[in-house]
Amino acid sequence: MALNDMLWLLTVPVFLIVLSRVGVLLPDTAVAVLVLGLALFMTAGIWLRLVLRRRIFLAGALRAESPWYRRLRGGPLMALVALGGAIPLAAILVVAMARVDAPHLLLGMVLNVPVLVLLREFWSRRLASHAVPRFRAMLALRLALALNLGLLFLALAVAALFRTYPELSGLTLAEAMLSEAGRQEATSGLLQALMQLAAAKDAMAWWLGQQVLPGVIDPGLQVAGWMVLVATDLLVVWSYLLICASVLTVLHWRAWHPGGHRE
Amino acid sequence: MNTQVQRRGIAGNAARALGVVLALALLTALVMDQRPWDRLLATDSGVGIVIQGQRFQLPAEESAVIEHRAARHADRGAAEAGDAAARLVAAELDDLFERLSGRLPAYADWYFSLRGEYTRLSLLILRWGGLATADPVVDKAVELILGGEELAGEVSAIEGRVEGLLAARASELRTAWLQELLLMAGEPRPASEPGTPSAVVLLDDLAKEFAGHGSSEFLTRLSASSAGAASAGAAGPLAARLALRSSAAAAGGGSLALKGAGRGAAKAGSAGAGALGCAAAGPAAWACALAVGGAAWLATDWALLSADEWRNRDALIADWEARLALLRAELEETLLEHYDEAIAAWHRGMRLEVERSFSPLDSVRGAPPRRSI
Repeated sequence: MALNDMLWLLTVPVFLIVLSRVGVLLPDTAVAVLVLGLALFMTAGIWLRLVLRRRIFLAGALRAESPWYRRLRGGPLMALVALGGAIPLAAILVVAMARVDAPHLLLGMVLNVPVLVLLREFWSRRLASHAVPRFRAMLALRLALALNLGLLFLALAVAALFRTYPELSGLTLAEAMLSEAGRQEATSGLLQALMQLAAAKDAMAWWLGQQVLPGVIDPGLQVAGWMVLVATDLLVVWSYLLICASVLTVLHWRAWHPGGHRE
Repeated sequence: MNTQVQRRGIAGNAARALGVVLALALLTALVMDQRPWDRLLATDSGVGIVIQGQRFQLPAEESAVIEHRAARHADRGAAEAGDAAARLVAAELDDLFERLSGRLPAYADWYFSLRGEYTRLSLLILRWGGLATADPVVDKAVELILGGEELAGEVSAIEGRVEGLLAARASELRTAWLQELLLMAGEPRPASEPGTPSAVVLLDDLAKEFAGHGSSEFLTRLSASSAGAASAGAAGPLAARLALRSSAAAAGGGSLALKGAGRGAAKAGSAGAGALGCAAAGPAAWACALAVGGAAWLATDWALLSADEWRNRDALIADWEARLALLRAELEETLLEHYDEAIAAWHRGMRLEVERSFSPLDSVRGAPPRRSI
């Protein structure tokens, strides 16, 4: 099963690699459809995790025969909430892929596929003797995602330390942000505007890194400072992991769904 | 049975594991190596052309047509400019030398007049005495036929008109090339629109070269070479050129000189015969002899000049026609030589710029890189 999961999950980095190459060529409509499609796909994984959380709460708080158990178990409203959270995350991922200019992020995403699957298998086995069977698969996925998020972000943050960045030391913060924003080009005006916002954010981080961090002598503090500055990349990593989680969720929907009633 | 299922399961897992490893390796390679993407995306997006701040995108094969047509424009433009310059120079010189030829009868009138005769004689005497250096006949010819410094002005004016014509030709060439290029390139793409064309061709330098202001500096060269032609070839020492013309002209001049010597002997004889008649005048004989001799000299001179004019006027005019024709041919050759040199340099500049501008397409077409220019 783990190998099958890996093969299916590899479609995610394939899709993202293609997106990174052709994203800036897409027109407005394609970008909108892409963001909405990704958000809908993410919603599947988010919704199932929300349902799990709700079911765990309901299992501990309500009787199974209570009508509120049925009403609160999670339905279209919860899906809408999930969609509301997924849309900005999908947009962040699309923009990040369109702007990607170094291979470390995509490489991290490719190599992360077996890591995520192995982490999920690991937690599934570890929880076998602890978790309620109908919640075990999703709990294992949640734990694997959390741990994977930390590992992947750490790896990317360390890789970011060794990257070269534009020299912004002679510029004011505003000039640096405008300069970076002006270098963004995309067919879609919508995507270009989002890319400019992201570029301005990156320029701010780099500018602060170049102006403030050199004054910090302790290397540990410097690493910590850089990690804070690249913390916004956490959202990109999280979006990627949510899509991976959705792939696994859709693949194992029947097996992982906690069901309508307590066992 | 179970063993078979287990074997199939193991084989399937091994195949899947191999698939995962291969997929990971392939994806890592695709992430780390940009070249496959460049080739893939370049095929779709074609070639970019940038001119006058506008960006166009078109298939690679159309860019080859554009390059070919640019080269053809350069060849045709240079050839047409050369032909046009030659036609204009010929027409202008025809007009100029027709006017100069129209002055030959006046020169012949002066040449066969008493005033002309005695002016020549006095200037020759001065020249023999070292008081004058130039040939008085040639000086007078330059004054009467060529109008003194007027010819230099006329030649300068012709040069100015030819320069204007060539500048207009260069501008027309650039316009015609641009029109055809824009027609082929279609609608420009917005500057903000991204694209990853396999190659980008910048054509602003080529447009400048077509207009005559590129690296070959056609218009500057044209102006400089014309100035050189005016000073060195055309409006310079015309008198000397006219004096040292062809052998036919020299032969004509020699026969006229012989006739002049014969006239002198006849005049001396007639003056002496007239003076002899004054012997009976007594004390006034010397005055009478001077008056009669002078009158006889002048009458004889006029009669001989008239006879000489009757016999040699056409030969004199024909001689000067030949001199003017030679001058015209030399002037035309000098001017065209300079224009041809300038046009040839312009043509070389255009062809080199075509080759340089389109050299980024070599890699797209799979051609070996050209030599750097």
